[in-house]
Amino acid sequence: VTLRGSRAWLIVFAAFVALALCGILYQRTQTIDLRAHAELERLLQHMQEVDSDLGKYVLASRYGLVNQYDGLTHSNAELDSSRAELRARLIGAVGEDSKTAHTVARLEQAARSMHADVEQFKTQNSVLKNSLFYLPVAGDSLAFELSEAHTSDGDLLALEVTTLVRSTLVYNLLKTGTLRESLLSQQDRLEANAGTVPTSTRPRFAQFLRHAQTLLRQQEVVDPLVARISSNTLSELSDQLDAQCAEHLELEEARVNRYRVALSSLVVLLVAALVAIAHSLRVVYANLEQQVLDRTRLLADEKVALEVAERLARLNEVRLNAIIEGAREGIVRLGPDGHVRSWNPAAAQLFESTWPQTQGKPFLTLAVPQESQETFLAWLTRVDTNERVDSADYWHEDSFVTGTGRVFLAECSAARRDPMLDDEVTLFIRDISLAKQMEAELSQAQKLESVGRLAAGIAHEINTPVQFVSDSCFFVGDAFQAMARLVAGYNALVGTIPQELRHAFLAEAAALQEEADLTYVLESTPKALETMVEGLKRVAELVAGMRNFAHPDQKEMVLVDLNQALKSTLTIARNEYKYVAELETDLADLPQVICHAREVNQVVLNIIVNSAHAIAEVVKGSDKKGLIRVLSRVDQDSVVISIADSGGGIPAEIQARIFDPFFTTKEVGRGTGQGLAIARSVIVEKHGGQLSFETELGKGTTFHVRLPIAGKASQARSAA
Amino acid sequence: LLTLLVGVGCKDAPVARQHRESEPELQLQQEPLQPLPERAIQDPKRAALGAKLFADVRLSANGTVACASCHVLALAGQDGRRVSLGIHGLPGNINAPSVLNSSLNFVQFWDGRAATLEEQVEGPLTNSAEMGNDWAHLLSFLKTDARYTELFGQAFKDGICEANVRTALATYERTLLTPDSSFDRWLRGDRHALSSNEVAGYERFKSAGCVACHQGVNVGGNMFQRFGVMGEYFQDRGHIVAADFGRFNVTHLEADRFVFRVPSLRNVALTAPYFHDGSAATLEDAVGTMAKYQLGQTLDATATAQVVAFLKTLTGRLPDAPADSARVANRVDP
Repeated sequence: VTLRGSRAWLIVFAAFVALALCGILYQRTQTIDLRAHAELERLLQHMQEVDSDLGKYVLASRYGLVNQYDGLTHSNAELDSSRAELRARLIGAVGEDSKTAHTVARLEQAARSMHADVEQFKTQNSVLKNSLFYLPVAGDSLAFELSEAHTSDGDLLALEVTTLVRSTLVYNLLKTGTLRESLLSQQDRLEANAGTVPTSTRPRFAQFLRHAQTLLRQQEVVDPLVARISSNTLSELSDQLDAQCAEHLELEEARVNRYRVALSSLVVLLVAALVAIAHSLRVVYANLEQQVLDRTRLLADEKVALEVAERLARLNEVRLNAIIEGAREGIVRLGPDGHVRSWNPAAAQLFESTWPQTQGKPFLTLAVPQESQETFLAWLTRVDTNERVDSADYWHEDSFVTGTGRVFLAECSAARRDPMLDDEVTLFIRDISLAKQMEAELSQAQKLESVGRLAAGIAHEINTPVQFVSDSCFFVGDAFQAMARLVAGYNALVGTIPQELRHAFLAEAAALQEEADLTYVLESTPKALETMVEGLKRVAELVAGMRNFAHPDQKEMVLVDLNQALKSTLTIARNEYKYVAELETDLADLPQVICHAREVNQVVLNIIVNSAHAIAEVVKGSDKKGLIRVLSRVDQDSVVISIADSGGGIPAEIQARIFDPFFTTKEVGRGTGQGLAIARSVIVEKHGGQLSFETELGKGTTFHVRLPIAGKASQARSAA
Repeated sequence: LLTLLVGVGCKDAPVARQHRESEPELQLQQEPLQPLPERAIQDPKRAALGAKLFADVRLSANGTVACASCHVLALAGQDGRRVSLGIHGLPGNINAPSVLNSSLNFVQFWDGRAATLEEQVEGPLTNSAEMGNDWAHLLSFLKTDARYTELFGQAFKDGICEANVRTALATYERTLLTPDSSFDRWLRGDRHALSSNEVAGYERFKSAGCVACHQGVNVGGNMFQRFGVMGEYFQDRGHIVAADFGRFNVTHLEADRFVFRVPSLRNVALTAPYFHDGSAATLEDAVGTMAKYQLGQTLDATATAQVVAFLKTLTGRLPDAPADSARVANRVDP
């Protein structure tokens, strides 16, 4: 990277240097200010033109071709302003150059003196022209006046004057030395003859002479001026300056051309470098393209992988949802704030609250009863804070409350929070109240079973003494009868003895009899014996019932006298109902039915017990008693046992559930909720019979147990 | 970029050697006098500003004298005095030349010491016997005046400064032409514009040699001439003062002693008294003096009258005084 970086810097530096060089060279090619050269050239040309104009104007003015100075004045002003800007223009074009500076100084000087000459010319030429105009006029009138005097001198003088005028005019156009000499001598001659002029003419004569002298003098002043002005000094000097500038320009151009060649060469080199760079860029570009292709392919692969992953993720999600939806455990997800995020159907069933009702509500107040909230929270905190949780703590057992306010016992476990899941808590909740109850029932049943077995044993043991006590009672009864008859005989015998005969001994016996209340004894003892016999009979019945009920399980169905079975069962159950209900039985003659007697007994017992409980609910707190009626009848090929009670009836909302296992309305510990479930199982599944009920609130409930006479097999056959 | 560099670097240097457009050709055998242009086209904003400045007495040191106080447009651009009176009523040392057509003079002042009207501005402004002001004072006054600040802002990019004051005044002065004199109409071909006497005067003006100096568009004003060519005027007049030295005061050349700019004769009938010393009260006087000292001639009464008649035809249409010059105090004599 460092190598590449430094190389890049080198290239940038080289490019910068090359560009700077280009700039410098270009700058060098631009050192000639062609515009300034052109301006200077134009100015010099203008000066030459003005010079030429001035020459023309001066000549024209001098010889009367132009009679005003406006043009001349204008050109002279032009000359002056040109002169004024000359130096600045020169410096602008060629800079400080000693050769041209010298020339321009001369040119400026020439222009200045030319300007002065022109002004001088205007002034002097005016005087000259004035005299030139006036001299012939003055000469004519003077000559006329002189000749009018009619003197020979006058005529001569007049001739002289005329000659002088002519000579002067000629000299004005044709300046020769001889002409000038003769002009001067003519003037001198006239001046010398001034004395001969008449006095009246003398001023005019003097005036004429003065004009003639002025003319000659002015000519000598004006003509050198004209000569100077129309000379080409200015033009020559400006030509010279122009040439020097051109020479300077050529030298400059030669120098600049060298820079141009250098610049061109550099440019060619740079173009070559550009081509090389372009080529290498193409190579790099091709590489880059390949890389882009590769990368694109890679990206496409990644895209496919991503799609697969997405599908897997979706699949997992669906699976997870299926598991959560289908689980029997209530699965509840809580947000970090303890509010419910999701609620599976099992949880809905468990807590009797559907999902939308619980969404976003705090779980604690929703599902945990006040008294167990503290322990629940403590446990959850232990799980949350990832404190060491021993296996016993992994499942938390606590009571929960449903949406309808029912409290139940449940086991709860929690998945630990994961930051990836926004610190969600997932709870798994299983209702364990049934298991607990079953546990209780099981231990109860075991207890009963052992008691039953004991009772059967005891019954057997009791049976024998009851038997011989009973026999003895019959014997005592019979013997007492005989004794009574004996006593009666004695007493009748005693009665036959007269009163006075009756011995004191007898009186004493009578007193003893009185004391023993013999009469009452004689009357009551047989009844007591009868009662004893009756009691013994009932003990015998009870023992027989116990022996029948607790009869060991029969594997096979056997022919059973259901009426007999009903009677023994009712005997057993008597203890359950006798304080709350009277029992009425209406048992028809029944054929023997193929069944498991013990199980059917159990079913009937369960129903009787339920009936007794139902009646107890109604008669509770009063002296009234309800009624349990037990009927049996034959209906076609079945035997129907109906057990009706005068209880409170079954509410409509729980009618459908009464056969569900573990469904109970009784307080904890009293019922297992299994009675009717077992009954249904026994009657319907084991015997192919039917278990149904009719109920009316406030009136009571009637259960009908229908058993096929021929047993389950026959039922199946007949169904077939 | 490189191609461009090559193109620029190697292009041929186009050396401009073309001739400049030729000047109007030499015009021969014209009338020595030419008519004035009908109007002078100038920047209207600057001219208006110049007019305001020209008429404003506050340009003088004590707020009593404007340019227009001595150059009264209604009096053909001068004040009719022998010498003008400046601030505090101080008399000047020379006769005020007319401001009318002054742009056609080749130099300014009697002695030609200013090459341009712009240069000329400074003279009266700072002359202690004229407006007695100085630039610093004048500029600070102009800058405190909201109206001037606004007008200068409109007329010039750089607002109020010495150069712009000069330019504004000169611009205004360039508009002050007096075209349409009867002589100009005659020159332009209106043969009835002049009477025969006046035409005779013009012929006399030319033949007598006046036209040797008083020629061109401005009938003078385009050359210097010695006062006293054919006679010593100053010797005859006496009491020679420095102002009489004329151009000598500028160049200090002996040849320039008594040399003056030849004055224009436009509107000459309105500009008495005449000459730099205001010594000639009438045109007749002036013509006589000129004939004697400049032409070396004596003009008889007829000729003089004819010349004067001609000179009167040189009076043109005077420009209107600027609208807001009402506040100009046409000074009362102290």
